[in-house]
Amino acid sequence: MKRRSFLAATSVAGLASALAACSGNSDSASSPESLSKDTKAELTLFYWDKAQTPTIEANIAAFNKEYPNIKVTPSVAVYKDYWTKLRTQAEGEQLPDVFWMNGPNFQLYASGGMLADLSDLTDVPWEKYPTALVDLYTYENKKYGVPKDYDTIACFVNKTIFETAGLQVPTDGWTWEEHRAAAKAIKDSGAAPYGVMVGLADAQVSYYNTIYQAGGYVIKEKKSGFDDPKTIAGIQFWMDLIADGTQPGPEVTADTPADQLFMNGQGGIHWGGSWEVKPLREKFTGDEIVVVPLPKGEMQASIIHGLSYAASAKSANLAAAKALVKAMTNQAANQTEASNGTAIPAFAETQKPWFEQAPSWNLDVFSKAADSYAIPYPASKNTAAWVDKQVMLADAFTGKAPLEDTCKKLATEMNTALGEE
Amino acid sequence: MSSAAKSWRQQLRYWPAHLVLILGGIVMLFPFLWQVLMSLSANVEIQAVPPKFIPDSPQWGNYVQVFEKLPFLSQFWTSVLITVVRTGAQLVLCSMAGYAFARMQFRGRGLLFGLILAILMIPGQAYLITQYQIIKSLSLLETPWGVILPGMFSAFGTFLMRQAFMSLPRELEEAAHLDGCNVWQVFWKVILPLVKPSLFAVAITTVLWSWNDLLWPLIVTTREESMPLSVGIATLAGQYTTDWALIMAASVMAMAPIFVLFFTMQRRVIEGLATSGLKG
Amino acid sequence: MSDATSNRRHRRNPMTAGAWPLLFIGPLMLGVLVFYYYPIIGNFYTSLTKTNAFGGNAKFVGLANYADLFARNDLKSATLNTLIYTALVLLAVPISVVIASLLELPNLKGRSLYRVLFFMPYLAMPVAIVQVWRLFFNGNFGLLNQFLKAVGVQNPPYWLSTPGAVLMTVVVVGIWASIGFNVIILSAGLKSIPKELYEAAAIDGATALQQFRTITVPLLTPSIFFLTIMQAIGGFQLFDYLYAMLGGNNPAEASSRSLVSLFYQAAFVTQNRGFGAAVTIFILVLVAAVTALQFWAQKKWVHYV
Repeated sequence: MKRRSFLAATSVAGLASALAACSGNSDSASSPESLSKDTKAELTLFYWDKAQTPTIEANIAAFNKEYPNIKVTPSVAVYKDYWTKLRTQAEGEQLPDVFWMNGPNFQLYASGGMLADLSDLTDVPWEKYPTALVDLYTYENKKYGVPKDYDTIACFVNKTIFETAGLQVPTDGWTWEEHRAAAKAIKDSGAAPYGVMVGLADAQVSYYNTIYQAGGYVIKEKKSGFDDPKTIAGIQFWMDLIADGTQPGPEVTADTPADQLFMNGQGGIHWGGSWEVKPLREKFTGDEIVVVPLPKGEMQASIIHGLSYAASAKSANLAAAKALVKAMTNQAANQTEASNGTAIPAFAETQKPWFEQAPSWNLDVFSKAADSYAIPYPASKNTAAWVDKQVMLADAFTGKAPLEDTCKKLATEMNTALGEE
Repeated sequence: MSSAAKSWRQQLRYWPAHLVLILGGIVMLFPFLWQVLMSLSANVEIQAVPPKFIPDSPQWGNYVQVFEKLPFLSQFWTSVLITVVRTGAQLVLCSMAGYAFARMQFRGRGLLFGLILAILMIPGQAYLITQYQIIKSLSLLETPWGVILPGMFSAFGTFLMRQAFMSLPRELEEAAHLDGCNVWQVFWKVILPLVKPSLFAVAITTVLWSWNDLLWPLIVTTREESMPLSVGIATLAGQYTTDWALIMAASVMAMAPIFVLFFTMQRRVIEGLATSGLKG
Repeated sequence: MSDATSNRRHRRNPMTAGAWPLLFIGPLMLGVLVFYYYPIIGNFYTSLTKTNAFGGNAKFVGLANYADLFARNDLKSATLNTLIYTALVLLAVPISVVIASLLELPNLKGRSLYRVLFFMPYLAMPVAIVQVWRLFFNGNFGLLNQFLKAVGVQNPPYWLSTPGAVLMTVVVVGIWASIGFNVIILSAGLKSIPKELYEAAAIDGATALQQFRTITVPLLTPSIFFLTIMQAIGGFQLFDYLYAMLGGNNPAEASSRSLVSLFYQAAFVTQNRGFGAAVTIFILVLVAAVTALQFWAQKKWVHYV
């Protein structure tokens, strides 16, 4: 996938879906057209980010204006539990009717026959969503997810702490060295106990970015990149910060999560995703925060990803479930998402309110990253199988094992898992 | 010298024992006391350095929040239901089977009893995967019955009840039979009332295990509405990692029923458990 | 059957007649067959299969899961963690012996209050009470580290996320939680020791400590033996405390797993059922071996009266 293409919308996808709709099965019972105001049904909706609850509730309310007798019960679980539960539910044929899906898990569920084919949703304007996202949720030419949002990674900078430390707020194009020096200055000046804070257990906001910034890669052509020296250099970035004492080790962020530490004023820089803007704004109500692009290594890079809504293939109310997917991803729902400030909506031309919610925060950084230097979240058919192996990096971060050995071991185990796909 | 004074002098001589027991007792009690205090504190007070044990003003709102953040009532009823049904079923089934193994003559008795005892020797996880598949094929996942079913049958309870029946004199039954009672009547009206302490021991161990058990309900229930409290608390703690006051309030509420039950019948609980151990 | 002879004196013994035995054991046996015997066989078969990512489509793979099991480091660390935990939690037994013998001192005042205090942890729901212990051991503002810092320890460890330290915290909680039950069993055992033995020893001039060593402990060995068996079996089942103690995103999670957590992770998180089943077979063999060892060793130290 070309970087620039991630957010480019195209009408070809729309055409393809229209064709698919003609050739696809015309089982009317499973299509939302069979629904009416009187349709009675009960649906469950499962998601993982409780910060987005207001948007979910508002969109369900809008759905209920159209279908007052379809009762939707949302439930939320933390990210890690979410996937454990979803997998167990999939096996037990207990999947929720509608649920969030992400790139790393999509192919597994689609190839396992767990997801309802949404290609027959004729009135979804597929061309309004970024092609890359539509493609991300397409499996063997069938669409199994309607894009919901997209996200990139950037640095949240606490201006107050930078001022106390006598530092200038960094600008676009700042380098790894400048980042490391700033972190050190914050700690040494006593402005905050830590310079940077990232949850190193979350690859997407931490080492995945630096791996690509260093010119390395996570997977390429079914091979792990963790034995590549450049990849290792990307992880070394964090080892250096931990060694400086400017970034808390994973044992610290396990006790108190990195975003929590940042909110408590324990550090000057926080690497985070665009989805964190909402909870951060609830804590920092003024303009003490500004968003800055991730520092540059050999090149600039930021991981881009986007979620979609999917429906269970075995839903007892498939027509209603598909209608709900549509309602959660249509233009109005995306506008709600933007004005609530929860996530950057995927639907074309609905994003503005999201970027304008806090002008002084410089939120455009997230879209600039998406437009010019974003790297798609690395994924394969069974991503979960090898992502699980990455926990062994904690051994390196906590100093239990040398980084190089850990990465070599990780690469070997990942390649085994990739070979089994 | 009065006997009261003598007894006090004796306690004085026991001072090292009292010291050890008081210190030990504090260690035992402290987590509970602290949890209750935290459940009434504001979150900042809980994270205060230096520690602050007594809240400035009791935050009853923490308890109200439990009902907002967790389907507490439905989880509570699930816990009650699974506990009551499993305990009732075990009492009836284990005492019946225990009686048969203790008193009745039938072919293969030794073998069957051996098969029951063998279950005790095998770690519980070895059953879980297939039990899960059975519950799934019965379409009972996410239901209280799915949680209940395997736990209705207990090898330990059967063993305990058999021991209790064995210790009764046979003459009782023989006399009752001569009076014209049938086997069921003898069992139900004459024998069962005589083994109340053992029945109580089975009940108390089942109640405790059933209320507090985590692994099996964690596997069978994934939705908040269908979970019992043990899984609910684990989920809540994962969801609201740093909302300590809320977690403590929910924990206090989840444990309270067992403690109320215990304090209303503590003597019998302790005696019951002592029998369960001695007979084991 | 041999004891049938005693009943033959009665012309028609109702206890052997007709369907009664079947009626009495039938319901239990049915449940036991369906929910225990079929599963144990099914589990063994499962350990010889491999499923897809959703636990379905099982294929027979022979001993591949076992080969995988022994090739992986997971099993080594999980076994080691479980054995260390079990061994250390056994410390609860001697502690309980001391507590119980103090509790059973003749005419001790406040006995029932003490007994209730020591018994309370046994009643507690593990996941609920562990929340307090998580705060106690919290690295940033936990009581323990605040205390350690106050007495001058520079950088006390993050107990809940440092591999190794986690196991120790669980041991502390495990001991704390098991004293109650132990004390009850031991108290009952103590009550059955004849008072005359102590009186005779006192006349011979034995001190309280000598009495404890020569009378109490030896006569208590059957109860102690029972408790070490129970405690060891319980130790091998370590899951609840560990699961509740370690939150998500914990770098120490993978290296702190017990055998049962490894089983849960394999069978119900990554849905690798065959591997999970193989883990349970391994636990089974290990528990059997340790229990057999204890029964063998008991001949050397347990005194039956």
